[in-house]
Amino acid sequence: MAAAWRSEVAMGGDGVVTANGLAEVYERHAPDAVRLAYLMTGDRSLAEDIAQEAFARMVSRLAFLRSPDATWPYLRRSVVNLSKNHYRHRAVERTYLASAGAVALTSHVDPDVVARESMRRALLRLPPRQRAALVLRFYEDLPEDQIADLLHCRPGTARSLVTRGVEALRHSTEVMEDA
Amino acid sequence: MRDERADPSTDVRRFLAHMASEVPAAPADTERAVRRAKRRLAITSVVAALAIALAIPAGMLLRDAFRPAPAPIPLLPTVRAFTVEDLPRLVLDDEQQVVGLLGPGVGAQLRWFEGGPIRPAAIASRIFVDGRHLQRAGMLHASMAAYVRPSGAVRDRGTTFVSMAMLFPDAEGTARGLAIFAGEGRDLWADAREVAAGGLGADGIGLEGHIGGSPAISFVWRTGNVLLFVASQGQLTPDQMRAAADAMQDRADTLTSGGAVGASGMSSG
Repeated sequence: MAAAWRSEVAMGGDGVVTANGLAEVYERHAPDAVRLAYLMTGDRSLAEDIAQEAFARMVSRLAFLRSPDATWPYLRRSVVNLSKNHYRHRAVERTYLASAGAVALTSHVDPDVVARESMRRALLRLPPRQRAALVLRFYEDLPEDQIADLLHCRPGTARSLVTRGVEALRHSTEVMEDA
Repeated sequence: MRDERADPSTDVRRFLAHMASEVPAAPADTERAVRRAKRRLAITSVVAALAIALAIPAGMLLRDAFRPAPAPIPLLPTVRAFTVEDLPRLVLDDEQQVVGLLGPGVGAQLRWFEGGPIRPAAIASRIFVDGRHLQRAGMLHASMAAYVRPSGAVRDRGTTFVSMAMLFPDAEGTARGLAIFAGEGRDLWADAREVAAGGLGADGIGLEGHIGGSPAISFVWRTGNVLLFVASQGQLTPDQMRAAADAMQDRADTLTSGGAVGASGMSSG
């Protein structure tokens, strides 16, 4: 089945990867990949670039994917890794966070908008691993063991990352609202 | 939103869903993404091919590096085996100019055998051993040249000279042939004493004495896979016969070293 799937999705009759097959796979999974990357980076253009890079990596590993069901998990893993790696260098992260923190809040009167902006800032201030753990837990709805697998840590560590991330978000939004 | 803050995870879920909704549902620039993917796939294929191409010789080098050194192979003599074509070049023909023995053209007239299968009867009657025994010992072919003085017969105190090369499959065969000469080869001799045959091939036998009332001298020795033989009955001296034997050995050495055999510098002394 796996071979048939690969043949159907991406290969022509002569075994050559076809553009149509790849485009179909990309259009099927790219929105989810871009959203995930956007939640983890807060930068839409960066998220699109990460999604494309993850897709390119997946295609180069197409021969090793077992089935269509393996496509999204592979893409998700690549997006998580690429997003984390983007902020691996602390200097880059600090520069980005400083620029994000310097953005002035718009003078919206809608309290929900204010709360979302506060939470967005708080989310982007979280360390990448905490941010990734939160996104995977509350957006992807992954259990702790899968989060641990994706973040290359133990389940207890994943649970701790989620808990601390939630506390950090709540604290940040309370501080913002109090201010 | 404040009312639902009792469960912080609910806030987080809603916030993340809202933030995700900022991303358009349709992917942007699918064509660019596909080009990028195909380019990556091509690079991956090339890199994989290069890695394999490099890994194979690297693996072989590593294997050779960690393989224990083979035991040194003892050097073997590089003497090539003689062939049937070599036999006529080994025997001493009239071009050798055995001074005092051959008259003009006489050798050619009296050469009874040269090349081809040996005639056992001729051997038995002329070189003191039964040719059939030599064949049983493994002799494949033989080449022989024989000469007499112009007046010719042994009983007239003439002189006979025989030069012969016998081909065997291997050195073991020549050893068996030499043993035959060492045994029945002495039967015709009225008296025989051994003379030094050192320096002639691997090992050999030299005899000096009388056959049929005439002085006789013979050398038989083995070199490589041939058995060489010279004998005289008549007036040739031991030194002359040793020179003839040395000339045959020189021919053998020249052939095995790849040289061409022509007229050698054999002298009659």
